[in-house]
Amino acid sequence: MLIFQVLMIIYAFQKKMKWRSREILELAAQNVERESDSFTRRPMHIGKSNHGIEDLYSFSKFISKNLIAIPVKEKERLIFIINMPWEKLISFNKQYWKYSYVAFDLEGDVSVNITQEDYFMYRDQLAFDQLCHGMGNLFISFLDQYRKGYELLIIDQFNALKLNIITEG
Amino acid sequence: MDFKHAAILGSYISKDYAEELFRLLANYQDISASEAASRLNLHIKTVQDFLEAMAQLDILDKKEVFEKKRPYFRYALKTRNIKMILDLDELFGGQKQISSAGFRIREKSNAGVRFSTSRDGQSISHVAMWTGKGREQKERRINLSRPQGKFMFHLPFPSAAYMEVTEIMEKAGVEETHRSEIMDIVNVLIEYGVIEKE
Repeated sequence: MLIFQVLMIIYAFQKKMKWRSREILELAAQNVERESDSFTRRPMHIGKSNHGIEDLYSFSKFISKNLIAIPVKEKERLIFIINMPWEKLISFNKQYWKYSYVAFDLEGDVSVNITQEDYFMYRDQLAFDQLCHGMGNLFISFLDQYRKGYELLIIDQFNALKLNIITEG
Repeated sequence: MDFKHAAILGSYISKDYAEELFRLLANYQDISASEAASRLNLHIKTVQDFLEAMAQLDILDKKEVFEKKRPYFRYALKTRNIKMILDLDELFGGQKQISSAGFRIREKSNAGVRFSTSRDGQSISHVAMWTGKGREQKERRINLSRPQGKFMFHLPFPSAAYMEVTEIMEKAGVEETHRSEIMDIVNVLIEYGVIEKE
């Protein structure tokens, strides 16, 4: 029992037990200007990424293994859900389009959806289009770094934020 | 013939007594509303309205006559053919004029609108907004065609810079042939306060 507790504490400090949702939101908001009344309830097309399907699928394994996001495979795209509550994770009807996500389609188009709930987690009102771009570009850069074999660099970016290990999300 | 006149003609021509009335007009040199009404067993106001409308459309000749009683009108058929030709080119012309103005648009902030994405997540399938106030409030839902949906998906956000309609169409991969339906939805959504012009 004691060994188990010690292991849990070590894992907690290594951030291997915590989803990176808050850190993603934090990284996406870097360099985003403040602007009020800019939120809208629709996904945004960010641009193109020159990824291959194989790269994308192996990237999705890395993403889920490191608790960065939940990958969901669709017919024509792969979606990374960013902030899904625990109770929804185990339900059959996940309705993932209701949550914040970054979607990579098989033709290379990248789109982002940020929910009102996640947007209101920011202390300041941020320019919503810039925030969506920030989120999309963050994942595009993660994918690029992953393809180059810089997985640790991705984790370092999260750790560099030094967010509380106990806070949710 | 313009839409207004075509609508008048269409509504009167569709009456079940229209053919009988025209038969009377064809058989008589000229006829008054009361004569036609009594002949067809119709109310005089019904016949009068019909004859007035046809005179307004230049199908009947209307002549005021004075007899012993007070003056009244007699109607005579002016033509043996009625042609209804609607020029739809004018409508196309109107759309082109709007689009060539090249105005720049984006989504209006706090529009209070709900966008639903299509199954593939690459376009908007419908837009729902609330109209009216209080108890009179109703949801107005507009289903979008595929080109319209793709266009709406690429519409600049409220905090983004305005973009020209042509630019958005190019970004969304919408072909030029769909311009008129794009302009149609843009105009409707401007009217509902979902899209704003620069």
